[in-house]
Order: sequence, then C-alpha cells, then structure tokens
Amino acid sequence: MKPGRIKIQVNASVCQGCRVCESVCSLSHIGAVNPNQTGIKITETKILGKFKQTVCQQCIDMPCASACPENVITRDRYSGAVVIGDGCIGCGACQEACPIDAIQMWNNTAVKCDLCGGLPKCVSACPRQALSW
Amino acid sequence: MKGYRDCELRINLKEKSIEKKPLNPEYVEKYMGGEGYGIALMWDEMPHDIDPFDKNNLLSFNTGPLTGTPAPSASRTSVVFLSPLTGTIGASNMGSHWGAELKFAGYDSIVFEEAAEDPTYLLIEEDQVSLHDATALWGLNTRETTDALKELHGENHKVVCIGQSGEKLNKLAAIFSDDCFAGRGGAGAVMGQKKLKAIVVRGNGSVEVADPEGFMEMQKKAIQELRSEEYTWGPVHGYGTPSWLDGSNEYGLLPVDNFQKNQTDKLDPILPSELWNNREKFDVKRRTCYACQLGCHKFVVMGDVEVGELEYETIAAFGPRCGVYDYKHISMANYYTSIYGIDTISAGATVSAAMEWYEKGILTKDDLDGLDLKFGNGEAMVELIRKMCLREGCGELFADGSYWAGERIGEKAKPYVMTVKKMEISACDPRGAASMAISFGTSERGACHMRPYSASIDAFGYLFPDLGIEEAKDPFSETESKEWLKALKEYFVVTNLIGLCDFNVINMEIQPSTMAELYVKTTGLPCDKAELLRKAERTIALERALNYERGFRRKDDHLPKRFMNEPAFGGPAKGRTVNMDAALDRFYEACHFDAEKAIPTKEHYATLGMAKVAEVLYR
Repeated sequence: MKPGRIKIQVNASVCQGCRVCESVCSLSHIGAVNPNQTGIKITETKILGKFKQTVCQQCIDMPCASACPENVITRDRYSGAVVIGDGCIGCGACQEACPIDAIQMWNNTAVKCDLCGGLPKCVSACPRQALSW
Repeated sequence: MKGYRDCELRINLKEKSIEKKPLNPEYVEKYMGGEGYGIALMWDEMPHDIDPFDKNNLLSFNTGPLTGTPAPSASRTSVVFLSPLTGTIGASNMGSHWGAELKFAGYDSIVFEEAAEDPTYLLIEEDQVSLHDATALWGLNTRETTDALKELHGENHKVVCIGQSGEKLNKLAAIFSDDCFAGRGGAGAVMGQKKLKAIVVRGNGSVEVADPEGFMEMQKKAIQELRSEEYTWGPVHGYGTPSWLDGSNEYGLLPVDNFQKNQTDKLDPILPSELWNNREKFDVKRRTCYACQLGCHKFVVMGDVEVGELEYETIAAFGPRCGVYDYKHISMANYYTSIYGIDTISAGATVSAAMEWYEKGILTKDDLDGLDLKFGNGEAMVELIRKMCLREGCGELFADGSYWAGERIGEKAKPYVMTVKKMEISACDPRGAASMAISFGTSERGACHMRPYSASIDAFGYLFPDLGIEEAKDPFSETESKEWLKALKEYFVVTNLIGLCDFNVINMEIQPSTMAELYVKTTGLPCDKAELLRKAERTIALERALNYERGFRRKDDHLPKRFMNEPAFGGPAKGRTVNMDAALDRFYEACHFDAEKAIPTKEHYATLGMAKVAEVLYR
C-alpha cells in the first residue's frame, strides 16, 4: 500500500487504446465485461493514435459527493477513493457534477473508479505502463 | 455456458429477413466457436460443390468464446466462406475492436445467406438489427466508408467493410476493419458478390465469465507468460512484426525476387529502425486491437499519406520479394492495398511473379501498359498494384492473383507462379525450414504461414515442452517424425476457435494448459489441454473433408516445383531443396491421414466423433 492520497495517473502519450483496463475493471467489479460499467474509459480522438483516458481523480473537494441527494458518496478511509455506497437512486446528479465526466450511469446506478480498494487492477493489466498510482 | 452470448444472427440478404437463434450446442461442443463454428455451418448447410461466387456461398463472421474478455488480444473474429481464390474453404481472421463490440451487442456469429440485389449494409445496435441501402457508399474506399458510417451512426460504432476491390470481385479482396484485415482468400470478393458493403456494430451488453476470480488469475498468468518471452516482449512489442525481417533474412527464410533467392544483402534500408529513425519522413502511430498486450500494429504516416499498418509480411512482399528496398514505394503499395482493400501478401507476390515473367520475356511492355516491370522498379510496382486493385488497364490481368494471371498467360508462365492451392506463398522460404514446406503445403486454405508458423521451432530453435516439444528439431529433415507439427498446427488453430491472436503463441508464449484454463474459467465448460487440441483437430478434419468433397487430394498439398528443383541461394539452407513426398508421408502418418486421399482415415474420423462425416467421404 502506498502512503498518502492515491489516484490513477495517466500517461496519455503511450496509451494505444487497447481498452484492457476497461475490460479488467468491469470484470473485477461486476463479474462480467461490459463497456459501460467501467471506472476507466478510453475513447478514440480525432487524431490517429491518440486516445482520451477518463478516470476519477479522487478530488479533494468531492463535487460528486456534494451533489448527491442521498449522501451515499463518501471517501473510503482505507484507500482514499471516493466511493459510491449503497442506496444510489440513479438520479445522475453526481455525473453532472463531475468536472471530468468520470462517472457513468448504467441501469440506474452510478459507476466510478474505487481504486479496487487500494490496488487498482487496471494498472497492472496495462501493457504500455500508461497507468500508474 | 458463459463467455458465449449464445446467439447466432442469420441474415438472408435476398429475402431481407433477420433471425436470431441460439448457437448450435453440437458445434460448440465439437468445434468450440470461431473458425470451427463457421466451417461446421458450411459443411451442414451449404451444397459442397458450388462455385464460390454462387449466391449460396455461406459467409459467416464468428467470434470465439474469449473474444471481448481481457485475455491477451481477445479481439479476433474469424470470417469463414468458400474462397473464390482457391476454391477451398476460406477462413480468414481479423483483430480490431469489431469482434468485441459484436459480443457486447449480444451475438457470437453473423451468418449471411444468399445475395442482395442492391448494395446493402447491416446495422446492429444491441437487439435492433436492420439492413440499409448502401448505394451512396458503393464506390467509396475502405476508410471513406468507415468514416461515412461513423458520421452517420456514431463515433463509437465499429465498422467492417470492403473497398472498391471487393466490389469489383477481385479474388484477392480483403475485409477491412480499422486497418486490420481479414486478408487472405478473397473474403472481400464474397462480400462484394453478396452486395454487402459493410457491417456496423454497437453494443452495450455484457460478456459474462463463469469464474471471474479464477479467470483474472489465469489472465495474469497468460500476461506473465507473454511478457517473459524475450523476443516477443522486446523487438515485437516495440517495433511490431517488421522486427522479423532481420532474423528471417539471416536464417535464409526471406523470399527475394519471387523466391529466386532466400537471402539478400540489401536489407538495411528497410529494417524497421529506418521507419523509427526517420522522423522527418515517417511518423509511426500506435493503435492496437481490443485487449492487446503485444501491440504489433504500427500505423505509418508518410508526409500527408496515411499509409496504414506496415507488417512484416507486407514489407517482405513489396520489398525483397519484388526487389524493392525503399520504404517510399513499399508504403505507397501498402496505402493502395489498404484503401482499396486487397491482401498485401498476395498482391506483392503477384507483382513479383509479373516481374519474373517480364524479365524472362513472357510479358512485354505492351502487355503492361508500358510499365518497365523489372525487379527493383518500385514505381512500376506501385502503379501495377493500383491498377490491380481497380482492375484498370493491365491490372485486369493480375487482379485475381498470380495463379489466375498465369492461367490467362499460358503454360510458359506457370513455373513462376509461387502458389499452393492457387494462394500465394507468404514470406517464408520453405527451403530454410523443412516444417514450413508442410505448413504451406497442407494448409487447408492455401499457402498460409500461420497453420502453423513452425519455423519458430525448427529454424529458430524454440522449444514448447507444454505441447510435447522438448527437443530441438532439425530444420532440414523431412524424414523425422512430424507428430510435433501436428500438435503445433492444432494449437495455432485453437487460437482461431477461441478468439485470441496467433501472436500469443507464435514464439511459444502462452502455454496450452493456460489457454485451456482460460477457456474453462470463461465458459464453465469442462476442458483440458488434450480436449482443446482435439477441438482444433476436428475443425481441421472437417475442413479437409470439405476440400476433399471439392476435389482436393494429396497432389494439391504439393509446393511449386521451384522449391524441389532449385537449390536455396544462401543462409544455413544453402544448396538445399525440398523433398515434399517424404515430408507429406511423415505428416500424414502423424495426422492419421489416408496417404492418397489426404483426409483422416475412416477409423480416425470415428475416434474424433465424426463418423457421420466419414460416411459421406467414404461412401
């Protein structure tokens, strides 16, 4: 475990868009691979060979948590991740509040990166070392 | 049965009917999926003796059970059809993100029956499946078609399509998906004949995995195996497949001047470092297939020309094989084959045959629209490729590959046609590796370097203990047992069934037992290493059966005479020729084939649980 506040950091210039991070994230959280239920999102840009990586930066001020009408978004005291707890009603307020669009809505539930409880699986799966924490 | 989406999409292009049905459980049990699934469909549903351009040619796109999962390069889709180029089965597979998207949309296979009357494309958005008019797209090249469809339906939609070559029924035409190609065997021409321009897919569903935790463990193990192979995780990971050029040349495996030589001393200007170190001329971009660890694709941009993915096979085909040693012309040739959509290997091979015909006086400038088609004339090569793709002028003569061009020119041209079952031999000289003579000869789809790429074992000296290959093999012995080659071929075919890329096994990276475990953890179905290979053996046996029904016998498993008569020019193989009969005998023995019929014996079909197939063949 790394001391201090952690978050997934991205080196965009080496990403080649294979999306194994998405795939691993989804599989380890919901037990199936679904491109919409991932905490990290890779999208193609207009520039060939350049990809956009969207992943929660675990903001200190937590705008998503402030927006949540049910107060279910909190900071995990162990990993430091901002996590969505039980009781999400799927209103989408957190998604709107997120400054970098790192929260996805799927089947009336918000989905975001929870740092896998402290040891992010996407980081070790990335073959290009584009991700770190 | 997790992993699979258990849905086969059936499109009758004439009736414009769309049907969804569960996968055939018998096919899944016997042949797993991917290529095997498509072949089983062809065997059961398609008349065996039809012309490949008959409307009843069954075209199917088949993903494997692992496609869409995070297993290394689980991106593959096998396109299965009757090949217009060879007349044999056609099985060609491609990467990109399309296969995974198809799985997310909820389908394992798409099967096309009959042919449309007007240009059509298929749109799949989850369970909404519809056929649309493609008149406006007809005549556009591959990249224009992809862009137009993405513009229309959405940036995240994935597209496969054909270019002008497919529309013109060019027998070398390939299917394009984001600069990945289902290249060999003329799959694009079958799409063209069916007037099917493109398939657009968008999916939001889940690929389920039976044991997610167990799968993640096995996936980590597979990644570890891949990353611990020095060559794979070194030069290939960095430079992509062009890094094979050097080794291939050193070991005397590189085709030079239409296989007149197998080694060259002029290779330096086309080594991959030339692409990387020439930043003012070439810009190398990187974009991989779905879930790919290796990342062999290197997209080259030359000035304002987006050349496309330059692969070892492409560089070898347009480079040494045609005597051209500069990236400018190789890149332009690749650009045309990419946008018009034809197979680069066969295209380069056809030009090199034409060059030899020209140098031997069989063709003159008058036959070639004034092109001075000497070996080494890059400009003439590029122009001929362009003409071939579009069937312009003299391109018409060569548009269907070197075999058909040779047929049109006459007897004197035929000795220079380097094909097996009418398909051009790819960039590996069989005189330099005895096992490659068998791989090319006995490949069910015509000369193919991936069934299996056995030069890794006998020429380069890799071992594969998990597959029973514990000792180094002699690269120049046709007479030693070929049991090992049977196992290796089956293992390569397994990758086509399961939905992974061959580059996971080409340098013996992922072990068969790991692969079997990945399958078990994904699907929850029982399987082990032996059963995995058995599924591939059944697929091969069924492919052989279909070829046999279409008249293919032992004689068709032979190489061109050049390899038997002309001694190798250089490298370790210097002075060597191929003894094809001895090689075939040993291989047929290992595979339990009938020596003349070149199919498994009746008894062996029964052991494989395919007695019904044998009844048809041995009636």
